[in-house]
Amino acid sequence: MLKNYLKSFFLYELLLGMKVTFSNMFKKKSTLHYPFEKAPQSPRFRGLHALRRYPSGEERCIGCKLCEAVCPALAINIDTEERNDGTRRTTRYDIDLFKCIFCGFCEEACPVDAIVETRIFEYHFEDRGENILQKGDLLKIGERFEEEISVDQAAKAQRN
Amino acid sequence: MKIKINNKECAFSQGETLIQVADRNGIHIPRFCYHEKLSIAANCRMCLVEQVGVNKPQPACSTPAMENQEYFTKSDLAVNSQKNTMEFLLINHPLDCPVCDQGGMCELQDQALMHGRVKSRYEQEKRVVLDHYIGPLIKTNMTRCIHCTRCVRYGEEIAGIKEFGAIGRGESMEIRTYLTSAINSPMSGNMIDICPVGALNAAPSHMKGRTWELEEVKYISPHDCVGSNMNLHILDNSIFRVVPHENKKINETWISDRDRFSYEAMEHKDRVRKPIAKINGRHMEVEWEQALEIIKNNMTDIDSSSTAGFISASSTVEEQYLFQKWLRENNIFNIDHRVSQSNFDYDEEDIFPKIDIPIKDIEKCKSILLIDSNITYEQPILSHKIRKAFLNDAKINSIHTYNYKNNFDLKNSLLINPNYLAETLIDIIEYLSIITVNDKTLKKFIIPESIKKNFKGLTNNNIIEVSNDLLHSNSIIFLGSNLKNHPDFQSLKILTNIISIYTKSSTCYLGDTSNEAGAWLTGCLPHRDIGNISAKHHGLNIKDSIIKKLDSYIIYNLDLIDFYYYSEMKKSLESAKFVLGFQSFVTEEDKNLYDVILPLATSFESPGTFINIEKEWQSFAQGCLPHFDSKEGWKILTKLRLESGVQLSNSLDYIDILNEVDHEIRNIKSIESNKMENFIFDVKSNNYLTRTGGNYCYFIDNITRRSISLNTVNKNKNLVCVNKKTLEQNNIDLEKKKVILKQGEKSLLVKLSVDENVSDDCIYISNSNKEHFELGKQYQPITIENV
Repeated sequence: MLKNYLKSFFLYELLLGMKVTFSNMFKKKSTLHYPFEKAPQSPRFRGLHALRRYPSGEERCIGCKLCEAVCPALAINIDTEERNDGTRRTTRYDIDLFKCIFCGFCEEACPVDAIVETRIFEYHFEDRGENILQKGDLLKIGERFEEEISVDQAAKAQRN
Repeated sequence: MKIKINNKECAFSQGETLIQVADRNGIHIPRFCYHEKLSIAANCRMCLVEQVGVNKPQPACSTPAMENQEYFTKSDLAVNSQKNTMEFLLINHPLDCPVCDQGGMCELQDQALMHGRVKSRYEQEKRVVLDHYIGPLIKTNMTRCIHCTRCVRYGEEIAGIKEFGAIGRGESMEIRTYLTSAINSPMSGNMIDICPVGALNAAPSHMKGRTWELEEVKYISPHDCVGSNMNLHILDNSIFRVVPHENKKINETWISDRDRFSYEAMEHKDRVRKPIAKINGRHMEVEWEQALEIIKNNMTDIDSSSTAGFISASSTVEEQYLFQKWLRENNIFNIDHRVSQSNFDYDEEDIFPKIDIPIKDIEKCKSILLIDSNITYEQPILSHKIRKAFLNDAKINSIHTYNYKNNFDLKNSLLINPNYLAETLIDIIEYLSIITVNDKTLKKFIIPESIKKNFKGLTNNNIIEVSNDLLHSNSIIFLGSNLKNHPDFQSLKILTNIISIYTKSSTCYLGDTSNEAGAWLTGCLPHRDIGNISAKHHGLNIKDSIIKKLDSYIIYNLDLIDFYYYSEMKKSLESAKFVLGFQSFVTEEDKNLYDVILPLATSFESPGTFINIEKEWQSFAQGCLPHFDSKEGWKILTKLRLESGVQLSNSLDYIDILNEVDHEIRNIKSIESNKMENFIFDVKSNNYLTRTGGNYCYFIDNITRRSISLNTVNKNKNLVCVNKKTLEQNNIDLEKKKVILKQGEKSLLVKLSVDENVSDDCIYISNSNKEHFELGKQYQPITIENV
């Protein structure tokens, strides 16, 4: 009874709380000044999709539609046709980013590492319809970030 | 008799192999070369199983089941030998399933998963085999071949045309055509189905989709008169490919190439995409409401007695039923579907395409007579049955105007001029009447005088042999569908009937469309009502309707070149006041002849029923929704019936119409006897040069003639040929290789070749392109001149 009385008189609990506050005042800050500072990402980060090419410039995708089949959100739509050289190529490769849940199954299903999820997570749409990434868009993303993607892919392959 | 497989007791009968017993008892044994319908090759070694007491694994496909033996399909020995076989098969097989079209339905892929090792140990170079062109229907990828030889055995045993073979030995063995040429069999597409790997693929759908995205809908062949069962595989509301659906009574597990690849026509440029109406002299696309309004206005104006309606015999029963109902409700009685027929004598007692015995019993026949029938290409499924009969030692004879290529051998082949067809049949009757004079079991039958006066004593040994063969207990006569164009068609039918009475043989009148029996039963005829009973109001038959130049015509699902009276039809349409077309396809040229064209869904896009020559009703569901702005036939016709003021109690549903048709005609017996009392026959001594040939099998209806792959199969399809004797008689100089053919006012410059398969005084011209149709009619006089 007396103990409680003394504790409340000397503001013991307040001081106890302030101790945490003041000790943190002198600790190193964990806040990032986004967008000037960014948190580190794993090579397995699953961001925006990209379609890759071989170093020769040939697109990797063979239109096997395994990604379309495995996609749990039904976000991928593919049409294929035979190209003049006798290989199957996609004539349409659409990913609906509103449907996509970024599970990374497409990347895992792909037998030729064509569809990958990059580290890009900052993007926006201004008009309806922009949410659907088409084959050209995906290939452009792939071309632009190929260096980063290939390093990540190599890292992933090693950890496996 | 009993054996034990995996400790399960299984009964078997003498001569059965182990794999058959296992299959029947639901025990799975992996296999590649074994196929139920083919002979046993035992060359893939995948079906190895352990037999107790034998220290080597045995191939289940070629090991006969033995009394009281024990077998194990999952013991260490069996599993290990299966794994080893699989490893060897995969040594030379590419391991790139995602690239291959077969991926997802591949027997090798499935069995590698179930019976293979997890990892490949082979690191050396793999074998690569070059692909050879084998035609526009099958795309090869021979590196993937595992040499099961199913396709080779299929060609030898089922198709009957030996085109594929294994060339080379050991590592350099490859499966290919003996000469680099396109495969010509009319049933070659089945090789795609029986190939367990991705070596043989369907060319039109090659690399356009994957197997797991397809939706399967059962369908009935719209091109042959037997109603082959097949499955449509649908991808994104269009047909991706067509595969057979097993029906033991009709097509077993095969379908013809025509059924398999005709779907390509659906996207043809001739497809009617929107209703078209002629407004102020110009054809323009209009909306459905506007088109129906125009039709409504015109239908009230027209003189119903001067109007004729023609419907295709490839339309479904429901469409035919509603079509004639709509016309008869509007007092139009000139209804007909017999567009390719030329002769309408003895119309009242006429009979329709039919077969007296079930289709599956053809193979049991001991003697078969073909009358001018190119059956192998026109009705491949029936030809397959005849081939089975042939392999059972049936005697097959043929009377024909061209030595057609068949997949069975003929005992006697009588090559005669089409003008003498009837005479030849009379010769047979003459012989039969002599030889059966003492036969008490025959029905009392008196030969009409008009036939008797043509008896002139027999000289031809072949005819005696043909007639003797027909007297076998189990015989059948096939009357070819080409003969519809023959000026004596009706007489030929009656003569065939007389022969069948004498020989107690069955007859089969082949139709060239899928639903001719349906058209007869639904009353799409001027003289027959629904249920094939005599009509209250007789109309004009198609010949008279065309030649009399009526005021208005209604044409349902027919190209103009479908008409035997093609040129007359064109003139009549030009002079007609109102021409209404319900068309899936229309050529740019024909379009100008119509006032209104309504876009009709093809039978692929509409539910329906076909009745085959066996009178088997087969209904199918809608494969895909109608493309473009077209609508199903039953919907359009029901709408038109409502517009013309008919009170319909039912809601507008397909199933109501099917029930109504079913209720009205399913159980009705049809008139089937030819009365011979009024039969008058004059042998015409026609000594002119005659055109023969019939319709090319991939040019028979508006769908097949627009299928691109099918029409590139045969490079010689436009062949025009004569035999040497005729060539010399007409003083034709073949150095320039080209001649001028003349029929009436029309003439055509063609490349002529010499072919001894043509009968004397004949020119063989296959109706395989528009020019040949435009030149003139079949079985009619033709002249030939040097350039």
